[in-house]
Amino acid sequence: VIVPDELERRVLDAIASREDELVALLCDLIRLDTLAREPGDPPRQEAELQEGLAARLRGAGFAVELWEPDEAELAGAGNVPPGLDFAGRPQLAARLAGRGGGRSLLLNGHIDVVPADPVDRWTTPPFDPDVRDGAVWGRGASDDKGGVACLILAAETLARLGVPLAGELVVCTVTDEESSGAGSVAAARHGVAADAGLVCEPTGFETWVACRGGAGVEVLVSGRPGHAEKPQPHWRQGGAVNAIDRMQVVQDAVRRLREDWAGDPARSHLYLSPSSIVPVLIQGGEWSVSYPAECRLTCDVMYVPADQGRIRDEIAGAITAAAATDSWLAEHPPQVRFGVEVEPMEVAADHPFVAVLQGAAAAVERPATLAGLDSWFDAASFTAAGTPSVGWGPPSQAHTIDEHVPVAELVRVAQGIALAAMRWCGVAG
Amino acid sequence: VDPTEQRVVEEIAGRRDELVALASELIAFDTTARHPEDPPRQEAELQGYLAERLARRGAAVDVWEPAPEDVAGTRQVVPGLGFEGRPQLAATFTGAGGGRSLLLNGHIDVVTPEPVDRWTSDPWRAEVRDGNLHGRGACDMKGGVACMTFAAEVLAQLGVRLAGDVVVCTVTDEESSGAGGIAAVRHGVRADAGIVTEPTGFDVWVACRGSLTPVIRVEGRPGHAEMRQPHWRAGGAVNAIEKMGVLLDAVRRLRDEWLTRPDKQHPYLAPGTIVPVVVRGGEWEITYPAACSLTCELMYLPANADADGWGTLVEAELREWIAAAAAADPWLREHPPTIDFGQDIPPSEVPPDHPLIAVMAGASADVGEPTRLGGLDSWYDAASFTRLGGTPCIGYGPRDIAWGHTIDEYVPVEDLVRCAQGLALAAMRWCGVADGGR
Repeated sequence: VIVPDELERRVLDAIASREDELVALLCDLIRLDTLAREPGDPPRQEAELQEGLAARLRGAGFAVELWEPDEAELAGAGNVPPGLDFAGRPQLAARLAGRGGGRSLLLNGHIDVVPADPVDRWTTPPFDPDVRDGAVWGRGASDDKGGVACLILAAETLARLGVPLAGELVVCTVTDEESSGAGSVAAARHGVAADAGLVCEPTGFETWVACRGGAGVEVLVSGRPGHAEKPQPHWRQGGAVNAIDRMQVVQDAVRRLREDWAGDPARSHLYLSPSSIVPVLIQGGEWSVSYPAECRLTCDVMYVPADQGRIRDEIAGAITAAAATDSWLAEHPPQVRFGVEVEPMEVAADHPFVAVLQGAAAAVERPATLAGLDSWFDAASFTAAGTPSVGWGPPSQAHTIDEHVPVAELVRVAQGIALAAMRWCGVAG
Repeated sequence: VDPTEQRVVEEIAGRRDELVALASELIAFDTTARHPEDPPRQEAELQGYLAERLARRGAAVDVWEPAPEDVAGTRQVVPGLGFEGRPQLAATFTGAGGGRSLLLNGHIDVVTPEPVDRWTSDPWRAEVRDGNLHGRGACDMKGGVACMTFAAEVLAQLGVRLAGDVVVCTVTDEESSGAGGIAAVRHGVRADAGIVTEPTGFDVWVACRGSLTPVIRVEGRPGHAEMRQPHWRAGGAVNAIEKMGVLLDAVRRLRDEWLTRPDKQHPYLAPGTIVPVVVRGGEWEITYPAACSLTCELMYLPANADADGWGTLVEAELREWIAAAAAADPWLREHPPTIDFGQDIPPSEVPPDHPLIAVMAGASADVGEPTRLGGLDSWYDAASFTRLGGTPCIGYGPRDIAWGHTIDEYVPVEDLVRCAQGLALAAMRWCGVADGGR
């Protein structure tokens, strides 16, 4: 542990003294409706939230940019659904210029939250934040409005105290992490970059240096419809074929693939679970007295960085091979369609920012272990674009009923961020 | 064919345009089969049209709306099903006495013509092309209803006085639940024997299968699909879609077993079977599925029915079979699947030596359509009259059930003529012609 020096101590104390302000900021953020969207949903209060943050940071001396990404800016991004519209959903980048000679740091968080249903099982209304038992309660308290509040307060405090950082400090809040990751891709493509990045997610004070990539895959098996109450000749004689029954061939292939991957050393990862493919939705059949003409199986695929670039071919190949063993499917091959894909990421455990972050975490009495996230987070977008980014933040209550975050831990997170920024960017003079 | 019969046959042939016009009138009424909560369509208008025609020919006509309680208490009809705006019709041509009575029955509901835009001509506006009458219900079975109505009308118009009663009965709800036929039975519509004029292709149907629609539900345990899950005994997620795979295998094995098992065979029917028809599972794209349901269509034979004619024994067999499959899987053993059976459509048969069969076969051969015995692998109203009303019923009608429910559904006009002729002859021979009754 590097004991904080005098300036660092002043910053930590200043943050501790602003605890009420931190809580108030988080409560303001929870009150604004920024539910994650399905494509086609109208915007909610994303603009209001971002404008509020922009005003604060501008007041503290940041150069602030708010923009609505356009389609051209996102063209070809694998994780962005075609035609995704950002009208009313601006992204924010706020820059505090460094004095020169230091490394720049990106601080990132997302403002969208998952639905709070069933709302009636919450002790207090999820969008009407409550402070009790030393914690803030509400949707997003932990994931990720708590993190956003921490990084805003840390950046603002550094600016207001006039701490002369040598490198540039970039604060970036984005939309769409919970749906597609389109917000961080938009930000990275817009030029939001730094020498390293900290994505403030509820990691429970672990340092996330990796996450898996993911893709949805939909398999469509076609049968041949016919009256279910009539005897059917062999399909080569025109008889009906049951798409639900034939889907079993695909389901077996999916299960075997998952089992293969689970035991494959090439797919093991120090911080991540092996690649996996999980059936999540099935829908087959049209009418109760007809042989099902179609059956659709949707699988959630998550994969380790080693599988990047080859995962689609592996899945399609396994399904094709299984189909070849079935006379109908051999001649009527299942259609395999991949949906939006998010890329995996990893940052070397010996990246210098990791050590800086570990030291800062230890200084706020939350020594961090290295870990990975089995799903995906925005760090992947920035890392892929050249800003090696890791995750670090408060205790996780993500997506739960009665989501909450202890105020004392929020203060530690804000302090840790400020400390990491000072040590990474350097302090001039 | 005696001279009186010859006159009837020729009369029907000579008035074929009237027969086609009657079938076309019936097709023009929208009587699309309902879901239980649907409002009535033009059932009352159609029945009123037939009632007026049949009354004009001297029938005593009874048109009534059954009350929900009239069809209650069976495993076949959903509780509370009402008939507002959906009357049933029974028209009796009273015989001179001393003969056997005959029921002629048909249903007026038709399945939806959707997708309408794929029809060559308007499904509600009958059209004759190449000697075939096209329109929704032409084959199944407004054509048959027109034939039996016309046969009875012609007999009356020619003054052919029958010894036994002829009861013309048209009902709703055959395509949905069979409630109309049950309502007619409960209302007292009966005869010594009956003919249901479904499109049998001039076969004589002596049996039909029963059906159950079991819905098998499996529960899993939801959890984040992208997170590592411990064993389920340690609280980990369980994938309901994959667990349903265990039961899909079991259903397939049961079907294979029934295919050759002796108690699932019948001379005129396909073996008992169980076919998965609808599967739904999963709730969200990154969540382990918490539930999966599988709907099956289960067909069973008269020999598989319980003492009251229902499918309770088959239900028990399926329950045991599924329970045995579940017992082999640790999760399913402790979280057993559930099965809801819903509606039970019971099977039915009449003995192949029932005297009406020989009468019908002879009449059909005499109008140029030699017939053979057969059965319907699904279900029709004959089952209700046979099982519940003491009226043994066979099926007999034009070609061809395979064209029912199709786009561009049709019936050959020549078949309508021969069917009406066959029915008229069968009525004369079954009921007997009273002396001097011409």
